Amino acid sequence: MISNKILENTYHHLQFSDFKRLVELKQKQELKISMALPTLNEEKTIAKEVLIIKNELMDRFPLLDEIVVIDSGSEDNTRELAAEYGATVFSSEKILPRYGFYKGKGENLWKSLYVLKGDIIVWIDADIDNIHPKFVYGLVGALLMNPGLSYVKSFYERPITGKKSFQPSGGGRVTEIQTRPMFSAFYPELATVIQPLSGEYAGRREILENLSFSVGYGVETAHLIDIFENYGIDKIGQVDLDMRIHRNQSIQALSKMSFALLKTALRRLEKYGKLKLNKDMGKDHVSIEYREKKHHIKKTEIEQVERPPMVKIPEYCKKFNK
Amino acid sequence: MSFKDYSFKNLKQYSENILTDAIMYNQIPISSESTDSQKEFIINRLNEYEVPKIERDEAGNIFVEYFQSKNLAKDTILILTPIKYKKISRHERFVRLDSSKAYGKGLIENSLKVSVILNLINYLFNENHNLNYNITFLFTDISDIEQNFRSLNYYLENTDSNILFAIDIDSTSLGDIGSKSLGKYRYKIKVKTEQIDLINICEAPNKLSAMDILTEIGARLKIIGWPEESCTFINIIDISSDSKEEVISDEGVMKIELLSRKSQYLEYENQILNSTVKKLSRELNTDIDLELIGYSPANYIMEKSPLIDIILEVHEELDIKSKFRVIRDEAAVLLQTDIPTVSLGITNGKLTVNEEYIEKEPITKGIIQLFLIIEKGANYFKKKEEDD
Repeated sequence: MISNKILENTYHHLQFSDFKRLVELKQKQELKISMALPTLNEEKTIAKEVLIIKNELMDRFPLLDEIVVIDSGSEDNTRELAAEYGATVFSSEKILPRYGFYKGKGENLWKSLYVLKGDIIVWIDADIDNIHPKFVYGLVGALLMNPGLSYVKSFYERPITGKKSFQPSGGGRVTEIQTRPMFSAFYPELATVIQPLSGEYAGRREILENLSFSVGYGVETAHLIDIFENYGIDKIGQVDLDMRIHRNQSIQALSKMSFALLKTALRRLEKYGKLKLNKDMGKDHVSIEYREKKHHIKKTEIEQVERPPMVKIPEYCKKFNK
Repeated sequence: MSFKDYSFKNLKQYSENILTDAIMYNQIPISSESTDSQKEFIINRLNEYEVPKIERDEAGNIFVEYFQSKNLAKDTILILTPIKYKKISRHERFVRLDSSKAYGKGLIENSLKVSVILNLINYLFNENHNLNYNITFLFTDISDIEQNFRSLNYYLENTDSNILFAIDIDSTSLGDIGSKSLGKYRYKIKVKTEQIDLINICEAPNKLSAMDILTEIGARLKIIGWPEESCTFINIIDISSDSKEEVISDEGVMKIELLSRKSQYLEYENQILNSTVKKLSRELNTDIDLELIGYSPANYIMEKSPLIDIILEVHEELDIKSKFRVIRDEAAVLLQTDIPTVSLGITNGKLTVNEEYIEKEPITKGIIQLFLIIEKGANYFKKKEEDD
């Protein structure tokens, strides 16, 4: 029988919209809460994300203690705009430089653990067109009001944006074609996570610092499997944030994303004894391009580096007295 | 404490709130052709700002009274702005913010104005700022333009307050003083004629279709040699008929606006339209239905009035360049009832078919301008009452 534990821990953001109550709970629980935005060329949306979240959830209601941007080397005005509107900006490359730098969202999340001060950490993607405080208080609220939860994912409607309008449904294509079937086959308990790949989630530091991080895509899938295997399904919750509107990726980009996700998932399945790989996995994503009346093979190397849990980094242990 | 004593820095937080609320208001999902979502946002925000009494009336108005003086319980200064429904796709309403500007359709026409009033209310209740005068903040519902400002008229008919002067939060250009209204009659003209079958087209070369009659009305009005000093214009907004197969439609509708800066010419235009329609109806033995769907008077506030003097003084103090402009149609209703009224710009911006943006930096100055005018205006009227 499939566990419905995650569905039992499913909430709607409106359940946590009493900001005063959330601030009281935060103070009572003596917690610090940090928000981090991983960025790479997000000048179209970063300023309003920082303005609205800071204004609503730091200045008006002190729910957040800090808003931090971890940037992978933007070539536009992302860093300047984020700083101007009140975020603390770090260049990912300059955090723990001894360990090198990889371009990727997972790398930024991993490094954010070293610079953030919070006991609860909320990660929000920087490309949300319809930014609203619910993206933060929904996730943080679930953790503050449910001490048993340690990791909370968001889910929402994701309309596909056209040039001048939205198509009412769609999005989450990789989830439905790859991730949910994989979970159904190997981790049916996790198949009830409505959007396992959503970019907005929050967690408690004591769990996050014990997780390894894929530097690119795959970080979310790996987290869910690792938390399930090491801490149990009871620790995972999810929150309905109604709708998230952002730029949709091309099918070619999604194919590369799926390649990275597949490799991450297969590694986890092997690690936890669910299957055995008898061959090294290829490092290049292969696609076919048609030009000059001929088909051509196009290979793209997709780096699959995995960062160790932060608690294994001496600088981190020193900084946080571990 | 006088607003003069407030530094720009102290108000910076409120201008960031204004920007935040304007962006969030601009992006709210609108599910039907009504202003329900916008009203819900306003009410929720006022509740969050812990405003003690939020009032709503049958005409869709939302208003908040900031009573400061028990002795003057009925005298108030009115600050108003409209809640509009305008069909703009949500995609175009999403705001992009950079270091100096916020871009997004609807920001100027709808969202900034509402946000300014919300945050003025928040400021006053939050800081318990004593202006020695009562202020009423009014959000009027103008979702249905053909209702001829029913919402504001309803408020004026039912309020007990004596409105000393009114400020309409309107245009973007800081320094703009909307003081003259463009008089306007708006009509819907319906014509019903005999249907012409295309199969019998040879028998109909001299027959007139509904559209012929409507264009004739337009032409007869246009052909009149209006003198330049009349400041008039006949504006055909829309002309349409049902498209039918095999026949030339027997029904047509035209929406027309008669515009004038001067009330005597506006009334003259109105008489001419009515007589033209009657005459044509008789000549052609055809039913022509003339329905008045909107009216705003041609009026103005004297450029030498005390309110204008106060505004000019404040502009000079803040180094703002004043410009006299046309007042918003709805605010002209207040002028008609002899309430000194102006529209005031809060920041700079641009509104074209392809681009709409507001500038961030002047907002603080725009708010200080508004408070100084309220404060000085209140002092003037208080002194005047004492003298009287």
